[in-house]
Amino acid sequence: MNLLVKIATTIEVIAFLVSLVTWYKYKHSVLKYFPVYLGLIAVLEMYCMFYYKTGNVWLYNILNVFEFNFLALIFWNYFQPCNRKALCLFLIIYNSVTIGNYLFKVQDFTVEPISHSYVLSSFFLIILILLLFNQILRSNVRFAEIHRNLVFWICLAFLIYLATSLPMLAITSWEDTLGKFRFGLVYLLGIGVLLKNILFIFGFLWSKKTFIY
Amino acid sequence: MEQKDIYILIISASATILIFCLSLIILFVLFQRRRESYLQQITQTRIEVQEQTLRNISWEIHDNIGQILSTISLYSHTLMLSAPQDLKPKLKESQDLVEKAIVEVRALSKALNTDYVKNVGLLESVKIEIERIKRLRFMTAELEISGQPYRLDEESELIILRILQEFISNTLKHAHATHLSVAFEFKPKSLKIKAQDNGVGFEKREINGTGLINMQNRAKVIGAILIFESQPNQGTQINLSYNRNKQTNY
Repeated sequence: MNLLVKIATTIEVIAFLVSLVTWYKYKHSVLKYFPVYLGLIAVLEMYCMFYYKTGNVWLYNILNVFEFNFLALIFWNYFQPCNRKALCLFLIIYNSVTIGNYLFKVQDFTVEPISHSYVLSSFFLIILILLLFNQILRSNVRFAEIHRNLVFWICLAFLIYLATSLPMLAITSWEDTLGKFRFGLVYLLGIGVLLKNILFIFGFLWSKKTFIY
Repeated sequence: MEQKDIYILIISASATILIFCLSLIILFVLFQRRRESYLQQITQTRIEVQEQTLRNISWEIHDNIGQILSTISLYSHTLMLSAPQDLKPKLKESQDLVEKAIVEVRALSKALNTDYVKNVGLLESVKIEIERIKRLRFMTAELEISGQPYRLDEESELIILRILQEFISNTLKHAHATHLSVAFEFKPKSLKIKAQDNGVGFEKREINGTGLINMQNRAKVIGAILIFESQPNQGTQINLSYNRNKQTNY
């Protein structure tokens, strides 16, 4: 299991480095900020793997809040006005639930994963990705342009990862709920992270500068 | 609930959501490809109809208007012989104008005639267009060629020419430009064409005119990439990139 975690972290660092090397391809689009997100994850994973091994759950809780708002910002730039309304609604619900959770101490932010926010963010992001695909489908973009488009690969990577991890993120304490079976889920989550980052790397390398959705 | 049951439940839920999402993606891709194929067919048919119409117009110009102008020229020569001395300068001027009209009509007929374009090739046809613009004296025009010129397949050459003609026509009609340049860069694996004017330009988000969309659609048919670059008061530029090894949809 330790090996899988190491591999997953390494691939996250590689994805970040590839995103920097291929930055010239997408620097003219809103995705130019995407390496910030990848870099943050890579640094956090490395830090938690080597130095801050226990009690680091609050860092991941903050990361989740940042992740959802950051990705929502990216989607905002791609969405047409009708989809932006849904995005606004999702942002309000997610942030209200997260702040409410913190204020009323439904789940302790510092010691346990805030599963309400995790599940909501995954669920909303899946819907946002499907809305974006629907928007692309209705546009005049060719398939040849879509599969050379970085947005497509990023969305596909997130979709696979979120679909795999959504039910797992609903559990706050894996040890109490699943006992020894939790290792199976850790493997599955690790594979999800691996797949996500492999798709990111593939997207960065395969995408073309000229094809911008 | 037993720990094992929860575990199985989570795995099943993950698998179900994953399969659902992947199915949606597959459907999305299949639908997009089918839609694209329909659009391609529609564009192809439209281009074929358009080419046939242009060919007919070209024949009409050549056979009717051209013949009438030739007859006028012939009559004016006959008239010149018996005309009074004071009318001769005016008659000579008329003769020159008719000759000029014949040259213009022939050039226009050639530019519109699909068969002629296919015979002489893209480069020669563009040269004829550039010469025509120079004769019009609305603006200066130049053609630059780099690399060793080669011929493409007939359909691709025709479509590229129509794209350039559309651009030139837009420049003449809307750009208020004083200079037009077309540059061909023949590379072993690809042909790059850059056409630019120094006209009024437009905001990039205004790419919604029929002419511009037609140009994009034509480029798609032959698998070429067409990029517009324009800024208000900074002219307009198109960059067409055609991969020689690409499978065309024509």
